[in-house]
Amino acid sequence: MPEKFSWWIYFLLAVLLSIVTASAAPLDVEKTEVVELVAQQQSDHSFSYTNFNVTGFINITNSGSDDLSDIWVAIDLMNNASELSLYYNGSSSDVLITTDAAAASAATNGNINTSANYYVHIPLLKVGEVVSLYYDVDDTKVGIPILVDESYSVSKIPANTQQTWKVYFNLTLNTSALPSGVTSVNVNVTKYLSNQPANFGSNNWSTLGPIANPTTTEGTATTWDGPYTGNTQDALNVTEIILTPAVPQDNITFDVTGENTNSQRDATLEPFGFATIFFSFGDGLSGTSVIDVFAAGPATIAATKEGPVVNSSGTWWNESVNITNTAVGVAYVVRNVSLWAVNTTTGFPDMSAVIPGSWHDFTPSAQINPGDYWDSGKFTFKNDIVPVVWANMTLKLINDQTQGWWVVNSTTHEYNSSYGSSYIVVEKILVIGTYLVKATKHVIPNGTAADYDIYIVVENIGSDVTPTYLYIYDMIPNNFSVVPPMGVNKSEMLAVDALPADDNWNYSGKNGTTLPPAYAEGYYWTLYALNPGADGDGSYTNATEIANNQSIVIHYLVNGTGDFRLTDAFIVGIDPTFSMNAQTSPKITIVSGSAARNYENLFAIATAAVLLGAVVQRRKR
Amino acid sequence: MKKIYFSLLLFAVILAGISEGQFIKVITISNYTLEVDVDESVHVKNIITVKNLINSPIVPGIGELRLQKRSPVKILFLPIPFTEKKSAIAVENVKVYTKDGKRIPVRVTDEGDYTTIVYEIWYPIEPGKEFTFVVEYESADLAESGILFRDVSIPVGSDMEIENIAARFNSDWRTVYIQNTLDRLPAGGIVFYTAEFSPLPLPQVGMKWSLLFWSIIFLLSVIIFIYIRNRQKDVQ
Repeated sequence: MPEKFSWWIYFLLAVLLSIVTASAAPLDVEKTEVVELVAQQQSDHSFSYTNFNVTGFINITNSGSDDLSDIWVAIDLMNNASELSLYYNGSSSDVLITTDAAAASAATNGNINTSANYYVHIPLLKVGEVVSLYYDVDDTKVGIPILVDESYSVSKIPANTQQTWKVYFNLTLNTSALPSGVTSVNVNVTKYLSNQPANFGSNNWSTLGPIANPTTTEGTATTWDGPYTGNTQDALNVTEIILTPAVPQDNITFDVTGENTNSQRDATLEPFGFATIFFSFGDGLSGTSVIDVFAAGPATIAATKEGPVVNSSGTWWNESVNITNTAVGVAYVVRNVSLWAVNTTTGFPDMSAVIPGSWHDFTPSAQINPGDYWDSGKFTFKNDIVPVVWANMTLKLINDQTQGWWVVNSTTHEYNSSYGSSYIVVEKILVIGTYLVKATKHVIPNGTAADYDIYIVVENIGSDVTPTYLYIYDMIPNNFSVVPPMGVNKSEMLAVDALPADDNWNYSGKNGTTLPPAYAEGYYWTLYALNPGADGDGSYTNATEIANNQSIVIHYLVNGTGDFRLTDAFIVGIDPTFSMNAQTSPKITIVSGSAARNYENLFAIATAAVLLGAVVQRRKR
Repeated sequence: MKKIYFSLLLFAVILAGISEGQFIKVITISNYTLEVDVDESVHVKNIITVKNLINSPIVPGIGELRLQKRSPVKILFLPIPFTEKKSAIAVENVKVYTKDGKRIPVRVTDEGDYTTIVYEIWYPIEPGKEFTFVVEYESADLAESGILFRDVSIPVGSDMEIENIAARFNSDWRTVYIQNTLDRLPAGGIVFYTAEFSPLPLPQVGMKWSLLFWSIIFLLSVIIFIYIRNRQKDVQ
């Protein structure tokens, strides 16, 4: 038994709807499959569909003016993950659910379709009463009816600065998942910006909203004041969208403005709101169907006996049966009628003592509307004593929208008490705290007098790749000289090599004229972009980080002579080109189209005109 | 027959202005392949490779493919010679993706008398390297169909040089005419790729069969007309 509160809400709404809907059939059978779905946006803008769940409800409601009895409903459950079960019994009797087609056939005198796999028997369903059934659909065997696709004008936004990005939100009818008879699907979309974690938002948004410049290729888009940011115009309604196999897609665009205070080093996928999708179409996803209904209502049966007529051949009696529809608003088909007579004995008549010639079976299949009747006519039989005439009948409610039973199929979103729909799309955008470059310089005596190994370790400990290029500067103090080789590990990361022919010198440039007084030479290295994720420990032996281009090690040897000052060697400079994006190119514009011409029609008309002239000339002869 | 209009006489409006402001050449289109499948509707696939010419990485960013139809004015179904009207092209199933299938954001805008497909490429291209992407769409506006022939003429122009350009046509109908093509297009130039298709088993004769075929039919009808009129005069 499902326990979700929202299903109860759905159920109550369905009951209310069935009561207030004036056009409902007297015996209204509504099969509704409800779809729950949460689509979460991933960092690559694809969607991960979770919580996909399809559930079926069948509400059997007496919406007419007559109490109905002996109701049998034949249901062919398909692609189901659960048995058919009773969800709510509001009838005046017990409800039986069976898979025994033979029993159902026997109980209805063969008047119900036996190809179903479930049969529901409701002995009495008074006016206004309802019985609700439930089944769970195997979600792996049905498709998602409406697919979503969303992208943004930017792949990521920087933290701590107000940004505006355009959202491209596409709804696509998944025609392969729809039943073949579905010709259109009505859709409404409501999108909310949210900075509330409890409502698919993040409280890292210091400002969020408004939504601006909304467009849609189907229906109408209007902004309004939503409840989840405290700002105005932070929600969007797109209504009256009609998707069909010919027009299976709606493209919605709008601009969002916001500023995120993400202080994490790692890039963060920040939720900024959600969309709820409301839809409905007139068939089910699972293929389950209500294939037949048997029911009866108010009627009378009258067995009539006349006689005797005594003549030379014996004593004769007349018998007949009359069936009258006494209902107010339902019609029946008279299916099976039997008429017979037995002799009276002491006490109850012997039912096996059928008088020869008195038994008559009828299968009239005649429809009798309220107040109408069906009469068998008189039949005569011979019997010497006073007989007892019996009759029985089987009536079946007609399959009709106004005077009988009627099945309505639909699929819709599952109701959500908070958002109206449980078909939810969660939107997230990547927020980066940008890169952070750390340079560590090691000056290590190498065991030889006045010789020092210099290691400059450059690491990107931030959350994003650094721009290309990254510049590292180093200066050689006075009274020191560089002893080759000067190397970069790994050498492929050196973007510019000042002496490409000399493997002993790997640097991009040097400057010896504009240095501070304490320094004799300055070197710089132009490096390619560093990947994020280095641990920042300054180690010059971390082969993994070097292999991953997360850190680079520059190494050389200096030799001090005379009055050198080792402390002057502890200097290093970093000058990354601070920019969120790489350099962009001029816009590439290509023109194309069509310049085709075809004058066949003109030629054909001209030719026809000339030939017509020729015919006229010839007739003048 | 090769056609190229450096003065941008045709399609001047939609190409005008886009080649301004480029003082240094930083990017070029190294390859451009046009694949056209002609049926009731025309399916066009533009396979475009751009190359970074400078020693800094480049992100192409926003690019545009502008589409315009130039066709004669029609009265009912009759095209009027020496007239022309410009109109936007209705496109559907528009897709832009990288050569390894990654989708690229795209949108279509109607600019009045032309249509723009706007795509956004945010992949950096390293110095000297290339990047290939595909712009694909369908349109029923690209083909002009008559009684026995279907004509397609697709121009291609760009504000930057196209180093290698080629076009391929496919159709269930027989190709009865196809225009020779350029293999290189300078910045600001336009080349037209023209082809004609027919269910008739006609050989390629270097000109459009729709003109040749109907000219012959028309000429024969005129000869018949003159013959009958002359015979009538002789009888009188």
